[in-house]
Amino acid sequence: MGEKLPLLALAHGNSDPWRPTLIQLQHLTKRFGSLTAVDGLDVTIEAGRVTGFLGPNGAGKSTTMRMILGLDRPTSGRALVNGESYLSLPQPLREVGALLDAKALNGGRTGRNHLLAMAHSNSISPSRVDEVLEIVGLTDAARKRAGTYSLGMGQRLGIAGALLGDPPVLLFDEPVNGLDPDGVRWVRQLMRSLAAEGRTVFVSSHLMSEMQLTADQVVVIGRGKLLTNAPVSEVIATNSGRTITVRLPDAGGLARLKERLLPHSSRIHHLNDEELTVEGLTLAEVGDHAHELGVRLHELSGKPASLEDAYLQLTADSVEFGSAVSGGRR
Amino acid sequence: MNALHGAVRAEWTKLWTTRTVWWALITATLLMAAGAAQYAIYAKGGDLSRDLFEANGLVGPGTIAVMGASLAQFALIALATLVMTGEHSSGLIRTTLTWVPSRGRVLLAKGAVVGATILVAGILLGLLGAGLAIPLLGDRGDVQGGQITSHALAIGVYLALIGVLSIGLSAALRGPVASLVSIFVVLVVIPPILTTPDNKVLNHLAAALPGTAGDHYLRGSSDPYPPAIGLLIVAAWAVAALLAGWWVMRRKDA
Repeated sequence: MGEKLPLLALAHGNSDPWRPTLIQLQHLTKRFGSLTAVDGLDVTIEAGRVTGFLGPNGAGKSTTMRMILGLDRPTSGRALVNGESYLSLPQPLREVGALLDAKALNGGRTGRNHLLAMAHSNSISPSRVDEVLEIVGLTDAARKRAGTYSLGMGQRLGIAGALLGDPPVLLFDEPVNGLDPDGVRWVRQLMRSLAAEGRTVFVSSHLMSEMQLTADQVVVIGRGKLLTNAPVSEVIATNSGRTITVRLPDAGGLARLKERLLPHSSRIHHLNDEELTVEGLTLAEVGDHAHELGVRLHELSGKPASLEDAYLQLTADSVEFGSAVSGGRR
Repeated sequence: MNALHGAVRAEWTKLWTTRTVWWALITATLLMAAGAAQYAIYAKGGDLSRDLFEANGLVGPGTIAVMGASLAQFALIALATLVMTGEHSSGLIRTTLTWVPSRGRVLLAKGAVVGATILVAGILLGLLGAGLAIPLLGDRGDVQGGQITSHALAIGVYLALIGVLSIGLSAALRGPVASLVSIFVVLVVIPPILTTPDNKVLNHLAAALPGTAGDHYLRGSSDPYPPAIGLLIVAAWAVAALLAGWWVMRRKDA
């Protein structure tokens, strides 16, 4: 598994170009009792690119996805797919493919029969079942009971289900959970190629490094509120002050340098007697200051800015410590 | 209509691709065989309540099958209940509702598939029970082909309606234990409690419960109402349970 997985042949008999299909969240709000899980989200998720959906546990990602799929009723606001509510779609699998919880199936049924029932529900040809099993590399395990599948195989079955109706919109909730590195790379390529075909791909993840490689755009939420909705590069540029590490052999020099940098820098962390981290200054500026003071440096290094840093900065205030809502509500 | 057709095909595939349905059908068959044989032996020895014997002192094999069905029904109720509550315990309901977002359509499809399956199973069980009773009743048996067929059909119809009732109730209550216990209490526990004091109001109440009404229908008794009314009462309960299930599914998050 994981090798030579065909990415082509996703479309079945439909050679028309995708009409761009959007997901629109219009002031989407969900309250559970006194807790506001999703708080007035206004976001449009565009076609032809991968949109990452990020946020700490309990930020409302899964609830939002469930509302898009009509599983949870919004307290107020709307979630629309191509201008319509999911509940009003006569054959939703041909419009939206979703992987929510790969374990949400009857373990006594074979993977193939699960997909077969799914295909029947939307009048999709049974031959398409074998096609998607081939695409995700589950052909050999298709006639085994789904309860015997590994986490990664279950995830592949869920992805096969999402692709079944050849939909222009795809939602994936943590799709790389439980996949081996090959599988992770495969999912990344799959998402990229789905978006390249003009589809709308909306994917939640907590793996920032993965999102940095996969997503074009990111939507970040915290405590149910929108924190940002911007291209990945922009999010990184505006939200991660580049962190510079400075190491000095003597504590006196360190104290002097710190005092000198303080008025110029946005943040300085005194890690130990030998090390400082500095934000808001360039490497050259820190080096010049050190030179002017005549202090000896053993290290002056900058870490490349990452989505992870940007994310941590964005969500620093909205992490739900010990919250009652965390992760997936059943 | 097309969408309902798809939902029915999906539910049909789901029903027949796990072992639950086979366990339920095997159990129902065993219960019918054991129940019918037992009651036939009692009847042969004259050890059954008087009203079961016809005017000539004989017993119809169809009547024995009806008594067997009162046991076999629990395996089929369990099947209907598990088909619905199993989706909630595994989380499959969320998957099902993304396939078919209309709650009403899911419920109708499940009711249709389980109802049709139980209808056929019930008719076959009725024929099995009567067939077993014939040799055991011996000269006590009043064997008439037409009567046996109509009893078997009635058993199928009654069990199918109780199956649909179970689907609706399970959709409303979601949990397997709560659903099974409620159905059991309504069908078999409450009626004898209500009728013990022989109070007119309580008797009427008992007569309006699905188990009692079904019994009237199956035995063809005409007191306090004709058998057809008994059938209507059971059908009304099934429809009411479906509506309750539908109401809960529409209101609550999946």
